[in-house]
Amino acid sequence: MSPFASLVASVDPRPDTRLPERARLSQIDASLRWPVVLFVVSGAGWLMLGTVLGLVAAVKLVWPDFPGIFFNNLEVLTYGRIVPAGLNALVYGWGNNAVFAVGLWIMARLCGTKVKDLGMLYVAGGVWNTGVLWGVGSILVGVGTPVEWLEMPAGVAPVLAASYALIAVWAILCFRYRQEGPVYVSQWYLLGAFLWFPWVYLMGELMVAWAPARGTVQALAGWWYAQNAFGLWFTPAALAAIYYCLPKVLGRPIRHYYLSALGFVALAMFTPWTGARHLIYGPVPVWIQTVSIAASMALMLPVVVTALNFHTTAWAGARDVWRSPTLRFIVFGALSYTVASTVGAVTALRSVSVTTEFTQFMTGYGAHGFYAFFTMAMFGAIYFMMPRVLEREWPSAILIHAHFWATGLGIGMVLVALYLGGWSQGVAMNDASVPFLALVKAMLPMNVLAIVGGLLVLLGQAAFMLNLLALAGVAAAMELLSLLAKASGVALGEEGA
Amino acid sequence: MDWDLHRLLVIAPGTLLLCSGAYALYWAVCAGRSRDFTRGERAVFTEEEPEGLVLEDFSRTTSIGANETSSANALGRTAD
Repeated sequence: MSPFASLVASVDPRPDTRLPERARLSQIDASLRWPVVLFVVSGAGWLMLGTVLGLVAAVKLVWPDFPGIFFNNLEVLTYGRIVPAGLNALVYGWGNNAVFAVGLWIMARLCGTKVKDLGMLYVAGGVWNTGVLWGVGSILVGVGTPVEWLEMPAGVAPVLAASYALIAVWAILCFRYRQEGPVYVSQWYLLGAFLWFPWVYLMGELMVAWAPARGTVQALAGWWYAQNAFGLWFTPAALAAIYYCLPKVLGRPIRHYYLSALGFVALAMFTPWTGARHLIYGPVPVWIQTVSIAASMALMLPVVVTALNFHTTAWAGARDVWRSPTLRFIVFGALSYTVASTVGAVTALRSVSVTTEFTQFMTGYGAHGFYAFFTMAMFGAIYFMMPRVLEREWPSAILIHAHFWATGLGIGMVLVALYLGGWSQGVAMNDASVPFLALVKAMLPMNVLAIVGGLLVLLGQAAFMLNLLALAGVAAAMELLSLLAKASGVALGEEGA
Repeated sequence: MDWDLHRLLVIAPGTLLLCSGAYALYWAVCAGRSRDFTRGERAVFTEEEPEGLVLEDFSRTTSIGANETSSANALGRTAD
């Protein structure tokens, strides 16, 4: 066999077709077992770190001297560093690791293919997390760019890009070698996401960090990146997870499925144009602002389509939704997508944006999209995926309940605080007769409410982490024991011989 | 950096991506994937996790119940 042919054979993801279908599905799940554990556990760690940093930043809005006497003069804990560090930990640490785990697993299952070369995934996962650690650490010590979502130093990007390529190639390979049959909507979204993200990321890095564009074009490039990283990477990945888990757990196909193609095409067509919606009334050409407003309104089309798909399917099996740990999170995420996207479209309008932009309202909008939609959808998918890849049940139902209620209530409180507080902040900021200090003081009760909500979210994440570590720890111990038993069996066999 | 280089670096991959998208659409139409959009709606179900079977239930914590016939890794139930 030629070297090229042997390389192709070594990564060919097709499972043994002589096996019955059940065994093939187990083989696919088993092929991704430990890479998925690596991505999910490291992602959960980043999620908790990002939430802690966000919480410290929120506390500083109420008590600027926090955390007190000994740490007052630490530059690492200044507001301007912990906010971007927390954001990057959430986006690149939690978000990407979650998409790698859930996206690869769903793609492999739907394509009927398994992942063969595990070594490459472990190395790529390790390098990705090291890159994120480098980036977040650099931001904390004051090295990086001031552009939102791209604060990591330029040197981190090649590391992340290279490890991303080694991970994403598996999704492409799985799709390339998929079994015959129709392509499911989750596969479209995942394939799109895995192909769009590198383009968006590299263009963003190029225009902002490697060869910075001048003047307001840099701001345009920065917001183009932030909008597209969320809209063409995290959003399709979360939608793919919902499209997969909702019918799977309920045992019912998605209702109005024929509309899903329209939703996918509309999302792909309109998202790239929405970046300038954060620069309305800013120093950029008015036509660019108008195009982004029109695109933001047009994005309601995929929102309506997914709302019809998800909510009518969930409604038809409402009783089962409440009984399923997976679907509680999934449906929470699906509802949040509908509401957050509607808020996004409305706040893109000039008459509304003039009040909401540059206030806590937009922080609330970001939390709505990232925590209430993306993160909750990923939690649901992880609750469904982990017992299957580890062939072991979640150790504690109580911790799942605690996770759901603490996170749900916490997010609710954060959103109420930031939306209401942000709106009144915007109204006051547009009134020249209101002194700025009075405005800051008026925000204090809402900021305290956001802190309480953030603490609840952190509590929920701790419950999730505990359950996850117990599940993965027991599975790892059992695997180790079976390996030792096998090895001792072989040794005994050799002695007997 | 010179604007011409910016344009080249941004527009070239952008055009490539756009062409890939157009080709993917062309391929999808030629492959008959635009004829029946309901075709894939059941692709999510398998022999192990079939249509009509609810896979998870919080209230059944120790018994597999309706899912007894499924294999050990087919459930998201909890142990306590």
